Amino acid sequence: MDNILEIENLTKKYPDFALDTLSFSVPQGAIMGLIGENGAGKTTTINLILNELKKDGGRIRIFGKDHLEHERAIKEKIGVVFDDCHFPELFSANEMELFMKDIYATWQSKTYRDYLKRFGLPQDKPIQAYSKGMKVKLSFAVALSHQPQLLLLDEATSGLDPVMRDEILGILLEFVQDEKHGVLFSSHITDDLEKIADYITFIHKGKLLFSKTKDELIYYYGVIKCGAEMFSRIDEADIIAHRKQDYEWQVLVADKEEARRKYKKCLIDSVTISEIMLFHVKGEKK
Amino acid sequence: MNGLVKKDLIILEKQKLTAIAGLLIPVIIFLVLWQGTGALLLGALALPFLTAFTPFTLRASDEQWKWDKYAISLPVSKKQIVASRFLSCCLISAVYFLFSLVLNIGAYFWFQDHSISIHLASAFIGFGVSLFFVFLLLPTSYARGLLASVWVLVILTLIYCGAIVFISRTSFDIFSLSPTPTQIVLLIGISVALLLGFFIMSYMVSVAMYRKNHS
Repeated sequence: MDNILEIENLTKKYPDFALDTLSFSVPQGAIMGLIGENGAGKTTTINLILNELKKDGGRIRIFGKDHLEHERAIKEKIGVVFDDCHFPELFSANEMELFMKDIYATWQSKTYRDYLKRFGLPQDKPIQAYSKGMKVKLSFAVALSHQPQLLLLDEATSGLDPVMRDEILGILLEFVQDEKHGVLFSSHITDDLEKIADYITFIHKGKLLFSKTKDELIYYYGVIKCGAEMFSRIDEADIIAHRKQDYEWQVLVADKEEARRKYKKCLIDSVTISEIMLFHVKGEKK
Repeated sequence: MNGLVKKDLIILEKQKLTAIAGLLIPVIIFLVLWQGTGALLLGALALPFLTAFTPFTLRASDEQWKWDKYAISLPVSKKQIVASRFLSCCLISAVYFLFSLVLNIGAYFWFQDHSISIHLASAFIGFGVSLFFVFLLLPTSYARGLLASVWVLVILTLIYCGAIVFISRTSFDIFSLSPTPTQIVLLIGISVALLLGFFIMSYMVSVAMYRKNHS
């Protein structure tokens, strides 16, 4: 089993939105960043993986098995963290363990206690008295305490301050270190993904725009910055998307070294994932 | 599934003071108003209204924390999620029933105003109706949300109280009834069969509604 999660031609249709034949996979030991603007289909994808929503077509395989045929066994090995805390907030961390240990056959009390201690979470205080960051930390503690092999994170770090986000990202890197685990991390905070993701999958209006290694995006993609005259001379085949800012034309290209050779008079910069996302969403095709 | 039942019981345990007050207040009010063991019989018959708050409390807690969204990620089926809720509500009904039963048996030995069968019957009728309430309110809340089940409870309350008032205004004297053992067995059998049938229907509708809401 090379891929911990495989999605093939996944389809879900709504009257006003459709997730259209989405395909990507998360290899073992990798962190996959799932990006896209709000309403692009990230949460729908995660909900389909969890069978919260019924798919209209396609195939989802987790740990090499069909996600519906082996739903229960698969969910034993998945940890999920959402953007909000969905635990009963009257409960304390101790009370959470009281019932979670009966839900997961592989629940590890020691691991849970260790995470509570590491995150500095009070064990007897009700969750409603926790800060937003503490609630996210508790969600991670619960998600990581039953020895999951795959983590599904749906905007899990949104609303956290940079220090806390950094701490969580560190935990994710630790999680995939042994090359047997995987993470699907849906987020619109592309800075986080730039720090830790191995792959980036970009969905736009329910359609897959690309699923590539982060290095390919960071090292090969580039932005040509030029005037109108130079812009008119750029080969159409080289342009992924372009946009005009004041008097400057900015052009996203897939191979910046090749562009440097071809368009010597132009300034060609590296590009961030956030910029690539903006080009795709707001940019135009020539 | 044990974990989900445990979670429900912890939520209810957090509301234990309200529950204890809910159990004792009707009994005390009836005792003050009627000053006799008849009050306990009425207290037992008021049991369904207390039990009705169990599905409310649990569903309100689900909705407040959007628990269902998280529950879907757990290694339990949708059927088990619904089944655990039925189990939690039935367990609480059973606890209330035991409380009512103990109180009624105690009242029989203490006051000896009515026959033991009247005391037992009122406790069992209260239990049966409380299960009926649970089996009606759960699918309603899964299908139409909490507000709809509030309306159902209001309608049930009106019907239930109306029936009690109607019986009390007729010449029908429930205390003078002396059914034969065969009639009692038959009555219990029919009631259990009806409840069982209603439970199966209620559970199936709840599962279907839960699946519909999560697909």
